[in-house]
Amino acid sequence: MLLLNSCQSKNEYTNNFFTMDTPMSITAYGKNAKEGVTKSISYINRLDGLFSKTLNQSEISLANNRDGSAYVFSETVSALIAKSLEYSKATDGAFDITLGTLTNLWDTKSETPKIPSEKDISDALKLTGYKNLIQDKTHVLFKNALKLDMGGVVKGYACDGVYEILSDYGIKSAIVNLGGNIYVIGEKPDKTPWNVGIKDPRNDDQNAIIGYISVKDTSIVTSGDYQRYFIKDGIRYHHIIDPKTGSPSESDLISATIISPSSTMADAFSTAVFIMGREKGEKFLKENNIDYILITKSKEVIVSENLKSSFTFEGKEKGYIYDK
Amino acid sequence: MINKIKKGDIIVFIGVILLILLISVITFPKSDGDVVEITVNEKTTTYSLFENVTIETNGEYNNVVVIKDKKVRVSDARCPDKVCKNTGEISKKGQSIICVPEKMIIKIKGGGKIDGIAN
Repeated sequence: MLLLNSCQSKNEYTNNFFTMDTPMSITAYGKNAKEGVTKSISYINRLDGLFSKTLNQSEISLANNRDGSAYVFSETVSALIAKSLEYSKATDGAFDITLGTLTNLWDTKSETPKIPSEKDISDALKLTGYKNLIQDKTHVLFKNALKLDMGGVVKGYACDGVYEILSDYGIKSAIVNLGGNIYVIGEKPDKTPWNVGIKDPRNDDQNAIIGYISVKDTSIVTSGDYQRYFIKDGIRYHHIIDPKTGSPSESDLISATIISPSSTMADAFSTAVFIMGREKGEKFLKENNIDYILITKSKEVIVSENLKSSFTFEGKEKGYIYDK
Repeated sequence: MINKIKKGDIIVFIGVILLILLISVITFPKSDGDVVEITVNEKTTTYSLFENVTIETNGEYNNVVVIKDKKVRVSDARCPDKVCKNTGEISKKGQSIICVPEKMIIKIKGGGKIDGIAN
């Protein structure tokens, strides 16, 4: 029995690594686990080389420093731009990949973050707007000097790609964690669902959760005001910029989690719903039949009807309220 | 009939059992929750949760990790955001401490109740 157990665990392969400025981890089970994970990591590195805003030679950086108003992208980048524009239309502009000038201005990653002046914000706002991108296949026309920032969708896109790669390698059980964007493939090797925790947005402990969902074959993506932020004069300035105001979103949500087999969509919509706020966000998600977990500023936890039976609430002692 | 089992046989039998036990104690892997993995810049070193040790991580910011009394914590964070230090102590299977500036992942090996945290 003991020997049998140790043989089974030999089919497990885990790799922890840093790419896209974020910690990542893939654990896969099965005969080809190591090959599948290794291939997945080179795929993620390739995406980083295309989409990174900080690497000078990435396609996004080259396009942002373009001469003139047109740029021809590779097929991979064009495909994600096209998808992103769809999500922008669907969310009435709450999700937008054209905020590069604004996200540079609000550099929440900086060691000494500054609050930009109102004039700087209104000037930067003029250089945004997904409607100023006109795409014809790989050819993109920029109607103003906007800069792309695809950080709100690329990790989700990478998750979907890793899912495809691992599936091609015949892997039926895996958990992919790309900087907090999670994809679970199949069930755990013991045939039980994966338990994915929802981060407590008001606790610095990285392991603190308000509860967890037990799921299989889906992705779980959270946007929150606690991931990258600074506090100045008692005000929390976080990294999710509202495309309408040009400043960190001030909706009534502190965390929005989307659960969907399309991680790309979950990534985009978690940002959009966080910005829309509870009322508008819930309406949008219900209309599109998408599962969610929202946490409001008053620490209320809202779980979509479909997901309630797989959600375990553990936030009571931490002051969260969950009304089934 | 009973006399056919000689004293020597019993000694050999007990000896074999003792030998099997000894081999399994030596070679049996430590259980997952007892192993601490510290990855810095893609390089992973493992420690026992039962040792008392202070580790300099030797990355860009050279943070200090302490394993003591079956708990792991970042005792000194020279990185700018101190997120790793603010996480406090971990002691359970599957728990982790991550430092993005230091490119460091500390993880107690093994599956706990929670398989991952959406974040």
